[in-house]
Amino acid sequence: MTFLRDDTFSRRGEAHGAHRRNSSGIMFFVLCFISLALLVLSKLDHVIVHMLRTHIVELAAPVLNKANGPILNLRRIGRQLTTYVKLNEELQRLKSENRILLDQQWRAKMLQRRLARLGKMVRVVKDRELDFITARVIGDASGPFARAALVRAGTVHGVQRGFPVFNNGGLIGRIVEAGPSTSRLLLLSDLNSRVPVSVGGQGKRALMLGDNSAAPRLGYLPHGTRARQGEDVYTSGVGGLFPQGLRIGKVSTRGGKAHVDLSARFDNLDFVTVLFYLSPNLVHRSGFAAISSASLPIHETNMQNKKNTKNTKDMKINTPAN
Amino acid sequence: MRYVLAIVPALFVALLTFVAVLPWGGWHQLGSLLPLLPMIGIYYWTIHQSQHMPVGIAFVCGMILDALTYGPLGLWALIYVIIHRSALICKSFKSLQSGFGRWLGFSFIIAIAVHSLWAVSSIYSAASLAWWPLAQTGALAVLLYPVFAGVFWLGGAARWRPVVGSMQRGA
Repeated sequence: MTFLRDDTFSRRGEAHGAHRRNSSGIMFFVLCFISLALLVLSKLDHVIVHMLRTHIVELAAPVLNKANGPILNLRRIGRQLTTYVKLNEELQRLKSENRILLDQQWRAKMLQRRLARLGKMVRVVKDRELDFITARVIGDASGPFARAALVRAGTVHGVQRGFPVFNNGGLIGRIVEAGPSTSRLLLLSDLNSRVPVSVGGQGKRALMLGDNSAAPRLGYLPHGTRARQGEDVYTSGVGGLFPQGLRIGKVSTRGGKAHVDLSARFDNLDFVTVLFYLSPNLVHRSGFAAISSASLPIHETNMQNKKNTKNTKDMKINTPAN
Repeated sequence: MRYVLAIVPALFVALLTFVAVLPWGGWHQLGSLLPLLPMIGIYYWTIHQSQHMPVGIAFVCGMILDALTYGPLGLWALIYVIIHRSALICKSFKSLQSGFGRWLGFSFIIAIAVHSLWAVSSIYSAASLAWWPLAQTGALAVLLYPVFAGVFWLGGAARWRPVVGSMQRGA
């Protein structure tokens, strides 16, 4: 227990005793005041807070990026070990899953053909293809009361606030802050996350409410309806925050309350895909050019950007205030 | 060499701050615990080498954590500053001079920190947040204190003092 006792290094500092204590006391009150002032500004969502946060993140990003190398190796080793331990069990699971998927694939092809035929008959306007980028997660910014992550892609890569983010499991969140080279991703499980969803084959409208747990709650279901165990949950597109039909997870009921078991695994975020889909709500405030550039393929986007230089400038000015 | 050793406390706390935001993958459950680790560093170094662990370092580390965790800016900074002040108060108590006393002091400080964190976060979110997970991680941080104190002691300046002394004598 020697290390728990006093360290005898450099007693010289003690000579300054009283003076140091006084200045330390003043500093304590000054820093407490600054912290509280920043808390109030954060609550007010002040632009200074955004700027300060973005600057700190941009400064810290190279350090996090360097530190990620060894962490990735550690995680890879961990994954391999887990796979070896559960190899037989995993093989059986994959075999049965493969049988189901082959069956589903056949049904999906049939439905696709039927849909194409019907689409031709009623002359449906095709959805525009959305552009996307894939980037590495460099920071797991989760604390006791926040679930977020830092992504190594920012405004220079075309990422904007509000873009949905997903991985091979399904939707994982959306971009809430975009710096020049890094962006902050708010996970679906965060307390502040609210996602309009559809539940089951009937498409019952509901709201998925993040509560910092691994399985967010399902609330605001229409009166007289209830979510059943195992029903699929996907984005409804209501409010325009997310495009419609992005997979989220399945309903699980616990203690009479409906929760969502998320398809995406948040404990294993290496790379994520950022979908260039901007919420129409943000677009209305910032000019038409934004939605066009977000939803068009790249070659069309470049042409449109040249035409709408003025609108794009407006968008840049307005975006931080949104 | 003495100047290099003087930055050891700040270096350790900064390191723990960055460790707290790295993506640890399968160990995601520890996400709530990780921001409490710099508290161990701040407490230990304030107790043992307060002259090299100014309150400004605690504030800056808190700000970095706030910015990187997307928490309200100033939350962790405030908590770390409170920890620093509490550690200074603990240091002045004669009854807490032993190894066990230091540990006891840390338990007391963690309790204050966890309560403050919960209260400030609840007020900020305008909701009564769950306190139990935070209490659990606080207890875990208390249990981990001797381990980290051991690491700090090994990496701390006390171990290198004879080396520095001999170097100075040689010069």
